[in-house]
Amino acid sequence: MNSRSPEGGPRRPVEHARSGLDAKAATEEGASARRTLIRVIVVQVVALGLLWLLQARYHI
Amino acid sequence: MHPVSWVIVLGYLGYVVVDGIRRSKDARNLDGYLLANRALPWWAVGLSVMATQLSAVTLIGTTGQGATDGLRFVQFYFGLPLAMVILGVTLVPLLRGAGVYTAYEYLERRFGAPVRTLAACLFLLGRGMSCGVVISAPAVVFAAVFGWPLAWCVALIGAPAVLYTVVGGVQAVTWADVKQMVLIVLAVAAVVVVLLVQMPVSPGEALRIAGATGRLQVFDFSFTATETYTFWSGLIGGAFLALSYFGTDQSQVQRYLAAKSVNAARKSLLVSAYWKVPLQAMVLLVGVLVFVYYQFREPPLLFNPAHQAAVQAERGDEYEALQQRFGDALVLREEAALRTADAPDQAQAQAAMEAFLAREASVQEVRAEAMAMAEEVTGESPEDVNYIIPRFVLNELPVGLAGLFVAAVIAAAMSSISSELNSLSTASVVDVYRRWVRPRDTDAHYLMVSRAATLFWGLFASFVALYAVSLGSLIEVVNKFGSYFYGPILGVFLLALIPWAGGGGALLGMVAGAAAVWTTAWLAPEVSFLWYNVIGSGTVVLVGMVVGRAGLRGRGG
Repeated sequence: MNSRSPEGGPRRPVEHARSGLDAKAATEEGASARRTLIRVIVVQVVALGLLWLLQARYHI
Repeated sequence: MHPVSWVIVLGYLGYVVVDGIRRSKDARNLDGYLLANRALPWWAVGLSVMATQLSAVTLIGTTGQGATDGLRFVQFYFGLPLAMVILGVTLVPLLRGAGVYTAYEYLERRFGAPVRTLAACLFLLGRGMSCGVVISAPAVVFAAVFGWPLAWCVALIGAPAVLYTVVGGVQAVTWADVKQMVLIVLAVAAVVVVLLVQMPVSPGEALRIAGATGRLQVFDFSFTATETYTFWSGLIGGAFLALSYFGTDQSQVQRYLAAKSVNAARKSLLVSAYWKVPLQAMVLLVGVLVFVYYQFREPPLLFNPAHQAAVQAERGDEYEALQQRFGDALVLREEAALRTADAPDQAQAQAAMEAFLAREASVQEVRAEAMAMAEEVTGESPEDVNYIIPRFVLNELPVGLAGLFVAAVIAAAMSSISSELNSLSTASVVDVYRRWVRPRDTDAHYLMVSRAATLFWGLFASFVALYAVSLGSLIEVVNKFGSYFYGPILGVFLLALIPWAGGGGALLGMVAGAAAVWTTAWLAPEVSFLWYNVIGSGTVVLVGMVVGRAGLRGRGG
């Protein structure tokens, strides 16, 4: 990737998401993302479950 | 509207503007003005992300859709939480790590100037026009409901947002969004409480009546590309739409670029992941409850007051006769609704519901005649779904609460307008002016140009809003034009994650992606627009990968 500012201004550091992270940090980041995904899925399943109950109870 | 309600509306507008101007002290350089020095807390950014997406159309149109069509529209948002998690893992660290002002700036570093400029120009064109529509939609409703000239309503909604955005930049936008979001949730919750208290039946009985008319059907598991709101189109197509909007649209990207850190940016997106579906369900439920409420109170025959006045003026006798038939049909429907609510067992409930549905059909028959009359007299579309909630709020809500809801509608509009103006200004200055016109100048100069650009886009959007009604078909063309490129822009960002993809493949992929969407729209117009993003982005990634591989082989790689 080109690190020169496209406007010709001062150079700004351009990092890739995982550049500079060691393997341990990358593993922790992966685990954190997995936990977040699981939390989001659980919350959504609960929300959709409530909507499902509403439909099952009252929709004809 | 009662003067007390107007005091609430004007007091709120004054407070937002004064608070926005007060925050201009934090916007003394370009970084402060456009990115709040990357120091905003995650929860403020998260609420700003939600407020930007939630426009006045949501409060007026979506609630109206709930009243006429029920809850099934909520499926549209099922893919959003998944998209937020994907963005948190992929694009957020990529854009934050690149230290950019705009998402398109990153594209130049990855694929070269033509791709960046093409993406930025498509954003400016589409978002500039749609900002006008965001102002126009509530302004048209206000003009009809209050009987004011459209220009006044555009000024009431647009001027405060333009003012605090020009002066305070992203700081003012974000902190105003926080207040607007709180006000919106409070107003919606208050309306739900008032509806439940004022109805002569219990909440359970109200839901039974709504269920009898199919308004509580949430899930549709049919897998068809032609039906817009199904579980699968919402989950897959909705996820791609959310990836496009939150990942590549500068009006959203700029929110989380202003967060304190990568983690703060991720957490800000998760606010929407957790709360969007419940909030949208609550907004739709307001509409469903308004439908039930009008089983026991006489609704207007025509919800659009301008159409009602025109028909009464031109064909008063005919309208009076229709009104009489409407009243009779309503009495019969109310009796049937009460029998449905009070049915002691399943068999009687079933019979009562069938009778209720027959009465409901009679009511809708009279309404259809009135709407046909309105179309003949005015020459306009008689569709009045956007007027259901405003008429309910002004006629049925207690003094003060009506003002709170009108303030919430204006807040919802302002929160979207301000974020869009802020991002339009940023893309204009960073991706066009500083990139092509004046690459080396002082920070103060770019700050001044950013403020001028915000004002320009505010005036442009207001102009579009004034003429949006008469430019109806043009707006449709612009919206279609935008949907042709939304998927391809997402595709080029996804392509950026593939190491061997290059600038040539990206540019060719964008053209091919737009062509694929255009061909689909042309040859299979029945395909829902939610699938356009899947088709567009998939084509870009495929073409970009193939061209990238071919390039490597050509170079012996």
